[in-house]
Amino acid sequence: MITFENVSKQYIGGAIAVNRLSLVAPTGKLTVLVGPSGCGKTTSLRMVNRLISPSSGTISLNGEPTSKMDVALLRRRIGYVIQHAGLFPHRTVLQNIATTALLNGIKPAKARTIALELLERVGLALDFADRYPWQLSGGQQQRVGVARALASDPEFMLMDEPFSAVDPVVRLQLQDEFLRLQREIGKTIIMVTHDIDEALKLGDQVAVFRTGGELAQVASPQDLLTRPADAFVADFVGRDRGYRYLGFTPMSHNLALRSEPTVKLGESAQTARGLATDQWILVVDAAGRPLGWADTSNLQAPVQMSDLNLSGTIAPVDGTLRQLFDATLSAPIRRGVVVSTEGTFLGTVSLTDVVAALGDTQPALDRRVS
Amino acid sequence: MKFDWIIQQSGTIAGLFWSHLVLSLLPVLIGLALALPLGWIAQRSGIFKSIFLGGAGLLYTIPALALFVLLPGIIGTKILDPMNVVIALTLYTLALLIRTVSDGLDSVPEETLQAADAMGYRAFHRLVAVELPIATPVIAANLRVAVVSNVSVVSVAALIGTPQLGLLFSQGMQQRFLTPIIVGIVLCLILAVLLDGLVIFLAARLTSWQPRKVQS
Repeated sequence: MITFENVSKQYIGGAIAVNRLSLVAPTGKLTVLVGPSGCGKTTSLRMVNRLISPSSGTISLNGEPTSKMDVALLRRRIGYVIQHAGLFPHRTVLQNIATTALLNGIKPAKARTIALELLERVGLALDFADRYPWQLSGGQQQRVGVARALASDPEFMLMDEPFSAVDPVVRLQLQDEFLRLQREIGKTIIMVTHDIDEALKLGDQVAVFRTGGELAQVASPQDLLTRPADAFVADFVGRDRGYRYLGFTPMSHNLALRSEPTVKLGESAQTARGLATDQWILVVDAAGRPLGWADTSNLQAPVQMSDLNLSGTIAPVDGTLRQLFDATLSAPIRRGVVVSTEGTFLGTVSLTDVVAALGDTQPALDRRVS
Repeated sequence: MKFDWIIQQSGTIAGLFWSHLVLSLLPVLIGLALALPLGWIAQRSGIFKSIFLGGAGLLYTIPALALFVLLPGIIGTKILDPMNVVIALTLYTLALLIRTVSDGLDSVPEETLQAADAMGYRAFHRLVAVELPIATPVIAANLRVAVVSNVSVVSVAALIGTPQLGLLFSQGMQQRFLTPIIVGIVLCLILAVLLDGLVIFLAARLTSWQPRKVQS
């Protein structure tokens, strides 16, 4: 548990970066600090490991005030991940990861073992071990940065915009992998981001800051979307919050999946037309994973990849209503493709079914408000 | 060219070559040892940076010969003591390398420093384990300049009688005899190339982590 009690930071000259912040980052949970630039979120983060010292107030780790700790020892207890990874250019990937273990007094041989395990854990192949940071892409560097923070097995982690310097595709991938990792390791984390989508996706708890270093609201992502404390939070959380909220609503289990004829690649145009219930037919691969929709009225020869319309997204059966809704809206014929957790085709849902399912979520929202 | 003269004098010439080597190299080693802490202080403090770099610039404007002649009066050494040359060249090297070390430390990326601090490096450990290795390419580049320029400045010390290859120049001039001058020039060149190569070799060993570039 990381606790801020009445913490303020005022710079010489009077600028207030953080104003009387009180906040608890619960053990094993990911707390995201989010807000516009200049709102004091990064300053707050850096006060935890005393890269910046608070002007007043107390920050404690599990109830122990950080101001009384030796600063180097305090920092060694806390994993730290920054925007551009900040890897040591003169050390190999493996040496970079082992750094925090060695600083915490772990023997070199053991530190090496830990570093090799972590390399794999963050999704990098073993042949990355002896490369230097300049030989890595931004996303790979960031993975190494995360591994380095984890090598000392810290109880706490601070992450300063860890995924914002990589391209959007890699960012989503890193976020998903990090979420999975955090479910396994359950660290007490404070993360800073300016991206509200990232905050809502990753945070167990989201703290919204406003300009002037004041905390506007601390809540779960769902509460932030359904019950913003004031106009600032509502505005910051964004326009699509109704739609985004669906991202926290699991697909209903009694949702009726419709069976849908499918064909494999290479099937003749005639067979495809014969099977299709309307103009479109779903094409799957040999393992039964959906590939895309084919327009049977245009088919001349056996079905091939170039015949497929790839616009439709795919909703996993354990996914959210947002994924289901999106799968339905994006398909060329408004039938959403639902797959098993292994990715094999299960069935489709119609837009009417999805809208009915959306209607079912309404009572839950009402209960929450009353 | 009188080759029999070279063979006849080879023992003396070897001795001069050796002392030229020592007089060129020793100031660089001492200068570097002093420049590391001073450059570090300069890099961290604005006031010391102005004082050190200002002083270094001033020092550089004093002609080498004047410094050789003045030093005995200031520090009480004998006029023929080779220490005068060592100290004078150490000062020049130091003047060059303080800025070099300071610039080298400035070249360490900010996020690397922040990461090192946040991981719990203490100041001295961070300097030795993180900052200096990353600053090595910048320091090594200027170290080459220092080494090569020392080889040439040392020969000026012939005018105050310190034995090294420069003596071959003054001897040749006085005796209107070309061979010692040619031998002196060739050996100075060889020495400069050797020492430069040594610095390049050591730097390459220390900076093998860098992307490979064409050596200049």
